[in-house]
Amino acid sequence: MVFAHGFGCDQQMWRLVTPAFEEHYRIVLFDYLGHGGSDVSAYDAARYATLGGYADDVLEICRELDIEHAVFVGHSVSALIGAIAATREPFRFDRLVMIGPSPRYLNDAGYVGGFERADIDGLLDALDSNYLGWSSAMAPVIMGNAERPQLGAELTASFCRTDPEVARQFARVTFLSDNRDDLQRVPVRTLVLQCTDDVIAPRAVGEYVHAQLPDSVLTMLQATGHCPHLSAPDETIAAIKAFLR
Amino acid sequence: MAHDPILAYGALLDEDAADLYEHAPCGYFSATDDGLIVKANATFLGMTGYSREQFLGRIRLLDLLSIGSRILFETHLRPLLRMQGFVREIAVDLVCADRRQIPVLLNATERRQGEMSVLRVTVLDVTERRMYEKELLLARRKAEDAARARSDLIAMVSHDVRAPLGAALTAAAMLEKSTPTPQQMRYIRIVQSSTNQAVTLLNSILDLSALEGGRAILREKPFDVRQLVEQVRAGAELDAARNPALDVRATVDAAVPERLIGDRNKLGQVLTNLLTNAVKFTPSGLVSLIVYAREVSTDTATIECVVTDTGIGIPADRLTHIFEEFTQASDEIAEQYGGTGLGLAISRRLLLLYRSDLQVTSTVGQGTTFSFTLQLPRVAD
Repeated sequence: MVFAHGFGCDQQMWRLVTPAFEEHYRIVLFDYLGHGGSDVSAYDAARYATLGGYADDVLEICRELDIEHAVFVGHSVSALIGAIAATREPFRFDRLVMIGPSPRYLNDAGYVGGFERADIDGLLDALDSNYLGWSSAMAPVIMGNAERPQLGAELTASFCRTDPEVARQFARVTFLSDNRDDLQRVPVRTLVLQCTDDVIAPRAVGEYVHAQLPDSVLTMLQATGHCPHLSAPDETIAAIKAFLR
Repeated sequence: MAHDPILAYGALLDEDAADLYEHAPCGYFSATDDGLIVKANATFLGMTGYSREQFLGRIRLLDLLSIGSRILFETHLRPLLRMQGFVREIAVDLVCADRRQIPVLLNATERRQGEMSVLRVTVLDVTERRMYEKELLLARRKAEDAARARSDLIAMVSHDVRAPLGAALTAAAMLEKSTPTPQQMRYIRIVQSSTNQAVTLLNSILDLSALEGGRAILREKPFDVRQLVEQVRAGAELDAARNPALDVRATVDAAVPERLIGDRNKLGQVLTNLLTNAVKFTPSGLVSLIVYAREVSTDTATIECVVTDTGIGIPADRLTHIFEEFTQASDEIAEQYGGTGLGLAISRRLLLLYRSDLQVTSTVGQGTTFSFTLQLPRVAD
């Protein structure tokens, strides 16, 4: 099982979910370039100008580790990255799991993505303010957390640390691109996990994704927000297990 | 009877705590698991223009954020809160009751008890600070644009000046071969030396503009440290040949590995700049270059390069200025010794590529020492 994190995070966000699959699957976790513990110096703005560049990285990992017929679990933007990767090399993945996917965040004629261009500019401004003005805010200090023993003590300070330039470009690529056409080409059976009250990927978008995919299951989660694997790991695990059974 | 001020003032002190909550200089509110706001202080209500009735139990935290801030909250802050239980000083935009937006800094702490959790949030209005920040950013962007425009102009003009200078040098070389009279020969030499000076100046300006424009990159390859030092020393010795009272020496600490990985040309340029300066400003005595091994591990070596002379020295009040472009220690120095005043500025910028810097100490009449340290990877055996 290959787990791919979404915009704003890194592989550590999977830590509540992966233990449930360790018995039956080999777990592959990674950070996209510029995120978490990755080597920022290898970042190439031209390569990552579209989600295709990220999909190529996923495939490169698969080639390196000889991964075939695996399960790809992608959160948020990674759901689409997984769709592109699965289309480019169909034998790599037998199943896709999309958590809170959205193929296009901007509203368009006859399509509700949930956002206007000005909203995304607001996000870019917010990113600028936080990274430029108050960068310490984005480099969290992780300490032993008695209230969250399930997270383990070794959670590192790199959690959710993203290179500011990378974050900016990733935000643009994520929120301004249109990957609706990629959905129809996905050659494998896909689970769409849709949260209740997700402001990033509203229910209508989840239903659209489900309708466009050639072979998919839509599961509505009780969990609210955009990160059910963090806020409701048990429910998320159960839904994925039911799909893989 | 003993008088206990805490007891006596107890009621008043309690009131203080409640008063502080209500009228603290920052907004304060609490939200339930699903984001519903259930408690807020007067400062926050005043800041956002909501009445208590409109607000409590009706508005969710996300409703209070601009859409851009909502995305930031859901993609960055929610995971952070879940993982570490708090976030500090996050810049977001709040939407007030009248739809007006105000920039705030937000601190949040999640308190969990079993399955339930409450989010406690403090909010600081930073409208003025954000305006100041934006002005700073704008000023920085403008300055960067101006620097880029200037360096582009320099690159273009320099190119246009280089061609005629090259032609002048070629013509002078041809004249030299046409059996000129001794007087004509003198004139040819003047043309050559003036033109060469102009070319040197041009090269320095180009170097500097490339460094300023961020176009200079390190070309790192394995190189032989001792060979480089010897080459730089020999060059300086040639410089000093006219002055029999001046000795040029170079030593490399035995602990410095034979081969390191780095940009040989740029390192050579810095050392040559320093030695050329030292030779120029030292009428008699010694100019020395010593390379020390400061820390050597299996992977890397930290070396310190020290250039010392017994020259005229630099007055203390000029020390910080000598790194500025086109600056020399004084006008008289510039007149007497010539030079572009670019060498140290270039050296310093070259070292910046290695996150290193030039150090200088000097005593007028006794001499000057320049030094810098570099950490370079070793060549694997």
